[in-house]
Amino acid sequence: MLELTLNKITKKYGRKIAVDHVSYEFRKGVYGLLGENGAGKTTLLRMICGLLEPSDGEIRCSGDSVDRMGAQYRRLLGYLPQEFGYYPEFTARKFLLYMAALKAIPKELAVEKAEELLKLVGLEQEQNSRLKTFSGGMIRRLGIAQALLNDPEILVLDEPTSGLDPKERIRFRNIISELSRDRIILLSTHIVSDVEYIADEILLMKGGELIKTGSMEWLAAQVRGRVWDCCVRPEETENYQAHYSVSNLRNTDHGVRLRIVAEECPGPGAKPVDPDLEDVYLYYFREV
Amino acid sequence: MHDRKNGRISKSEDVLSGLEAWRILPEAEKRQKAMEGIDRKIREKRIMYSPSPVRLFLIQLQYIPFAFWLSQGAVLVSVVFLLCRTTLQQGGVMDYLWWGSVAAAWMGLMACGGLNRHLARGMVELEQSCYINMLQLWTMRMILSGCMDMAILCVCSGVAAWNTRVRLVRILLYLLVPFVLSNACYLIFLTSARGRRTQYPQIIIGAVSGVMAMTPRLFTGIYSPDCLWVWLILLTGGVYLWVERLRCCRRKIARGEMLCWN
Ligand SMILES: Nc1ncnc2c1ncn2[C@@H]1O[C@H](COP(=O)(O)OP(=O)(O)OP(=O)(O)O)[C@@H](O)[C@H]1O
Ligand SMILES: [Mg+2]
Repeated sequence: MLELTLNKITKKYGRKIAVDHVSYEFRKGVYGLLGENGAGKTTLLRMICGLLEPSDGEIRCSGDSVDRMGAQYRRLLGYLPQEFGYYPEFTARKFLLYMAALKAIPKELAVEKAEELLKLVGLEQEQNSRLKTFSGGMIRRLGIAQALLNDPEILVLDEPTSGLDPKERIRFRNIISELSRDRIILLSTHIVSDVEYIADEILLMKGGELIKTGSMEWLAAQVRGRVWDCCVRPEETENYQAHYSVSNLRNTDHGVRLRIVAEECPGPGAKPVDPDLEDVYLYYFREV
Repeated sequence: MHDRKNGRISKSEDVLSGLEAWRILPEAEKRQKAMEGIDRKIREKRIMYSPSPVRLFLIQLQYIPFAFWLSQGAVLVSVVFLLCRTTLQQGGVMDYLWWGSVAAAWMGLMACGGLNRHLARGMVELEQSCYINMLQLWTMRMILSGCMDMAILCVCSGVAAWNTRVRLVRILLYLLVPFVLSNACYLIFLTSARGRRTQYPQIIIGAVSGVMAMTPRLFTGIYSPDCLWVWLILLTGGVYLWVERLRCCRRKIARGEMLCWN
């Protein structure tokens, strides 16, 4: 059984602790890593990919230390960094063939795979254009394609959807849903809707620690009864916003409709509603 | 990933034993266990293409940037030109040494320069996560250009020694010192610089080491046999520094310090 175990991994930069004793066990499925800027998501993912050495703790893949596995571990891996440079003179196709060569994929298979993936991410028209002419979103899609080249068993994507337009976002979600069956997919994002429907497990990260993990349903159940819907007069909205976490605000004919995340009922007429992942996020990450 | 011709294929024994277990022990728990066994066997059986070292070398050779060959070619052409000119003019050992030292310093720089290209482009993070990682790529490139440069230096020294009747080992020593020192300088720069790297420092270091390589001429008698010990000390120190910095560089790459920025 493929499993990836994090055992109290920690990363310190000088005195700053970027990742703090994180333990977790990944099995097959899609995992969504959510957290604020600077929460330590990228640092954690880099350690999982063996790019950064943890200051403490260890990572095991099906029981073996990934440090010891070395190249054997890397061949199971597909990684999309949060940002990556590229050789601007490469074309999209050449870039994929280059990555395929580094992943030790035989030439004939690489050509086939590159073609298939360019089609999958919608870049088949641009396959012979140079990368320096690509937009940010196109580079992102190419990055997703290269991560899939070796049909990885462990797919790590750091903010895969940043810079993608809504249509491409949906395409990406569909790609991930189709892939998910027999591998570990770990993706970090700030965009809640990216993972809400495709992730089997959500990991909430704050200040270098995993503060809550669980399925979407389970997390929502934790917050049930703490999400309220109410309609207030326009002049009252500021007051509400000052005192509560407002997850949504909409002007209607009858006043301003607020969706509030709060421990207790924020005011008369407020009705509890079913929480979604955004409410869960706001509940755990609100300033208290 | 299936290629029987070009590489080793890792195979497991048989999936059947798992199936047997499943048939005989139908209880849920044991069945689960057997299923896991089968799953494991299937995973092991996934055919993996493991290229042979020669094949790896060829793969990497294929993607060495054109600029690399161009710079090596430029060095070769200029060295051959200067070599012919000095020989035709029946120059003395100093005539060979002055340009030889500068060329050696430049070559040393180029041997390491490959790494800078990766770092400057910011593609290292991707490259390092692959089966053939960036450390291997760089090592291979360094060995390749190091061998070519050494060959060029040996030929230069050989011709100079032949024409000037100075012993080959001595000329080789004079040329190796700037080669090794510029190499070491470059690595010191790489391991101490923080943040995103650019290509410019390489040019500056190149210019500086070129000038440095010419300075020994200012000290009269430094190339005389009496001063050989100075060169030996410089070479030993240079090699030590180079090896030490190389190990530091390797360590920093393996730990991720040189690759991951924000
Ligand atoms: N090379 C480094 N040197 C020093 N501190 C670092 C370094 N890399 C990251 N950090 C710090 O570690 C913390 C976690 O950074 P990280 O990049 O992992 O956050 P993140 O969750 O990915 O943020 P974002 O959502 O903005 O991508 C931050 O506070 C950051 O300042
Ligand atoms: Mg990040």
